[in-house]
Amino acid sequence: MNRYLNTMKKNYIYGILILLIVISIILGYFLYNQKQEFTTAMQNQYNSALYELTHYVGDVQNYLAKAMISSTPEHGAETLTKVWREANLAEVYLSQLPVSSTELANTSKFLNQVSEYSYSLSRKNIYNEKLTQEDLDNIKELYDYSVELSNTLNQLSTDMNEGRISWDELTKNTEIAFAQQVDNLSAATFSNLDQNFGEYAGLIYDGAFSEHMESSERKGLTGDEINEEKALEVAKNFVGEDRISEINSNGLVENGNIEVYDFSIKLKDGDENNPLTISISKIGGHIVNMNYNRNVDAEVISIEDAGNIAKDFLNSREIYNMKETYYLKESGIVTINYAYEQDSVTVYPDLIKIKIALDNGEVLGIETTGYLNNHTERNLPEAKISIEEAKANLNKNLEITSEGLAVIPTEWETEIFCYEFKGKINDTDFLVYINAETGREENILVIIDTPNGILTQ
Amino acid sequence: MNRVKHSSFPNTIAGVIYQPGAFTAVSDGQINEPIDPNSTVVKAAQDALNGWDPTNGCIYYFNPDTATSSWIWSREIVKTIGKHHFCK
Repeated sequence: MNRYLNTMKKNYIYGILILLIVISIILGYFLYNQKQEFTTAMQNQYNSALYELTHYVGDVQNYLAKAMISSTPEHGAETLTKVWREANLAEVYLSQLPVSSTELANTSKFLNQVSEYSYSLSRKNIYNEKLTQEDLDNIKELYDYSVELSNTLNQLSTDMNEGRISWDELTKNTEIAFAQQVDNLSAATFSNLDQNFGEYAGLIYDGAFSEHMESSERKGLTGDEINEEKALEVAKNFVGEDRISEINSNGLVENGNIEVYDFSIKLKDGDENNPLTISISKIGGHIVNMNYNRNVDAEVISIEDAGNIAKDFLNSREIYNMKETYYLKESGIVTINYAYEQDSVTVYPDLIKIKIALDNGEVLGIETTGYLNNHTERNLPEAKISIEEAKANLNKNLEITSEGLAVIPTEWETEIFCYEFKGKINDTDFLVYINAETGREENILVIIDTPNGILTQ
Repeated sequence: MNRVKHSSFPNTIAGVIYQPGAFTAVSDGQINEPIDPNSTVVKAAQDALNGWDPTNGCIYYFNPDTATSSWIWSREIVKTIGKHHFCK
């Protein structure tokens, strides 16, 4: 009897074991299948991105070739606009390849700069200016690089197509595979270009590159150099000594955009883990930015009062003649944009932003980079056309709600003296800028309907 | 935001965030975890969108204790915030 029971037990255990094995095999099979499906889907995406990239780089090459021989500004503009579009698309697909961004930085940069450069040249063409010999030489150079990139990509596509390399190899061993295939070549071929781009950015066409931003003149950064001790003094005064429980210095930040002394400050009534941060410029001891975040639960202060608080705050810090241009309210905090006002002209590049808490009116933050980079007394020219002439060029459906003069920044970090018209067409707010010297329509801004944003009149 | 403006990176926020290998929080799926709208992370993101840049124009950051790529040390370190080095 006992033996019978033992055999039963054994059979039972075997049965369960076999069942488990069968279940794992079935499960494994399904999981394997699913994984295969995902892998294939991913590979298809990568392939698609690579082929699209190859296609668009080929287009860039072709349109650059056409731009070199285009003889009328109209046609030139059309061709360059195509270069701009295709280079942009190429960049999008490049960023979808499963290759770490650092490996392809040069290639990405090349495409971005081709795109920016062709855009700026196309604008030249639109205004009927002919391209100079220098422009044409640059196009030729960009063309040569595009040919090389195109050849590499074509080779890679072919290899991929014929199964000589797989995404597996490329992604697992990016450093030796893809990088060597594309970016090492690009690093070598583009290194000259990289050097030249410094010139493109600053001298040749004033392009909208970050390199250019970094080399800005910083006109508002006036005064003598200060040391850390003095900076600490400035920070204390700015925040208010009576509110501070502890100050930590993070030292001088030398290679940022503006040289600053950085402090983090614990406030007496504040959250221990969430200090206030403040940066003081080495030159002149200006506040570059200050920021503090806390929860704001009640809204008892009106936006108008917040504006007055911010204005008083600026005046108490010896920043005068600032005009509110925009309010944005989020979770009980209003951010107010200020622009400098010179002789009733709104100077938009000289931008300061201030954050005010709407529960007690505390100044939570200030950001002055725009002001420090650009602020100076302008030599404003006489408007060559009258406001009536400027108005005559506006769309007849625009109901004008306010008008004035303004200095606006361009993408190329130059400034234009304009008439500014604020108005509505069918409940959509527009800002239209007409050049006060040439009458050219320089810019149209549409105010995107953010629920808590208010454009000042 | 600094990467969006920089010529070596994609020109949109999504392009920068989802660039392969760019952020570990994207690679390991952390990015899909919901966040409390009152958390300091959300406030910091809002500040960045509004133009506050505590990094002074940096485009890379890493934690020196956990960094897996030695390449990152070749970048010029601009400043340190908390556990992270920020560089150009």
